[in-house]
Amino acid sequence: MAIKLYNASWVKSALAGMAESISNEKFLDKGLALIGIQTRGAEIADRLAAILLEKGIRAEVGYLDPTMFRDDLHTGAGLKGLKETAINFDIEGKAVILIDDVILTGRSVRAAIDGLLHYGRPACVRLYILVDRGGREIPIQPDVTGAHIDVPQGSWIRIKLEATDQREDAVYIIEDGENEP
Amino acid sequence: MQWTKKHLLGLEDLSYDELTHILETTDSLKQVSTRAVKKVPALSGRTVVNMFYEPSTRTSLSFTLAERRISADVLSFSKSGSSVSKGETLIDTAKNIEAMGVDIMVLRHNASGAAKLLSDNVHCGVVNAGDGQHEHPTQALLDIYTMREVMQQRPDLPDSFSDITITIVGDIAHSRVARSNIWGLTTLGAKVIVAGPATMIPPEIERMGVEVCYDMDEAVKRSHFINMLRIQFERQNGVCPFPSISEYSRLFGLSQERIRRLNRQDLVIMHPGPVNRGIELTPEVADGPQSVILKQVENGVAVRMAVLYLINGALGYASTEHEAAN
Repeated sequence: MAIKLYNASWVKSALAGMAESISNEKFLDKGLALIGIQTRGAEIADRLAAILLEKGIRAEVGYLDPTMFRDDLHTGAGLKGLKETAINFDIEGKAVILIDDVILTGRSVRAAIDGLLHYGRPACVRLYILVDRGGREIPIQPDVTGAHIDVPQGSWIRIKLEATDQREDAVYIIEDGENEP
Repeated sequence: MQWTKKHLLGLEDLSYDELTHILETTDSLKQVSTRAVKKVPALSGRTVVNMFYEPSTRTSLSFTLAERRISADVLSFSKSGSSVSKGETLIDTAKNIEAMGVDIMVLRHNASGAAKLLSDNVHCGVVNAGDGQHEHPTQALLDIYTMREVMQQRPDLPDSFSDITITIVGDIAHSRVARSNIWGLTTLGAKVIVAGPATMIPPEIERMGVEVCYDMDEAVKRSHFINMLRIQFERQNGVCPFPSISEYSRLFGLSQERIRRLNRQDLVIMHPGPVNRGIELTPEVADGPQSVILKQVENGVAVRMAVLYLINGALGYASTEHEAAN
């Protein structure tokens, strides 16, 4: 059975903490862009932009589907449909915050960075992740995380978000073969 | 949905969901051409060979560009200057090319059914780039994609194919473009009319789910889109199917005069190319604001990228289970 690890108020405070970290980033004077990795990274990027705006910090928001840059396409991955990639502004010379909900192997992030650099050369790229569950297969580490949870093999972190999932924010852990929460 | 087909031989055997999946995948791939670097590594390390047994300008360039934009290694050969002119059969040629380690073959051939024959004899993926009078699936997909895009952009048009009427005008009997369009559009629920001289409309074409109309004015009045085909003089076996070109042009050509008289400045005009200016379309109509001909060409690259991307994935899909990666 899915176990709820964190509730909506934790997600809210984690996002507030991530926004606070963004406001302390270098290079903000060069322009700030939040790029959400599809699907839930996109919603997190939207929500972080809204929090930052309340602090008086304006950020452009884009969304990136890294599927085309995955390293396992030759095995038939990525055939279930692609999500929108929309970066309708110039990232050249800007501070870019790359955002996702969970990091495991690091391969999606590697693909996303490759995809991102096709849009230009940012001043810097920082990686913000809501939940780091460990289990990296390549050397990519987030700069800022909401939480680090050591999850054993065979278990999965599932994050539900208001807009994407049409339900209350929450972080769950499930085991292989279990139904989605 | 999960794409599983490793060949694209025609639109006849594609389901509604499969057609929609290709169109949606095309949305993402079209976007690649707007980036600073117009390339994704999706087919990196894969080899695609373009086998063109018939002359082609736009289809072969469009496939080549699509293949390069998704980072495939590209080989090309045409009938002249290859061993085909020494009498080698299609299958012999294909098996030799396959032995070099090719992953996908794109075939243009003058024999109907050539793509199917090829797919039965090789292990690689096969994309039909036009086989005789049978099908030209990527052309129809780019036509359909262009229609969908225009429908999304124009609020005065219905937003679903089930409320759309399309007329295909011209040499229906010899047109693989018409056949593929008919299969694809009827599967999506559109109303399809075919128009042209009786000598160019195959008997019993109604069985494909279309309506036949011999009156161009009526077809223009009833349609949201009109797809004007070229008369394929090279496929008429020396017998002209109508008394004169000027008569054909007067009865079935599309001119500003006809558009004005029928008050159809909202009609969307398409053509798969190459245009015989002054026969099926007057130059001012071909180049006018109602024409989406160049939009079709632009979309052709993205559609072909999507098809190759999906086929490449299906080649590797086999038995692997794919967990949604964290």
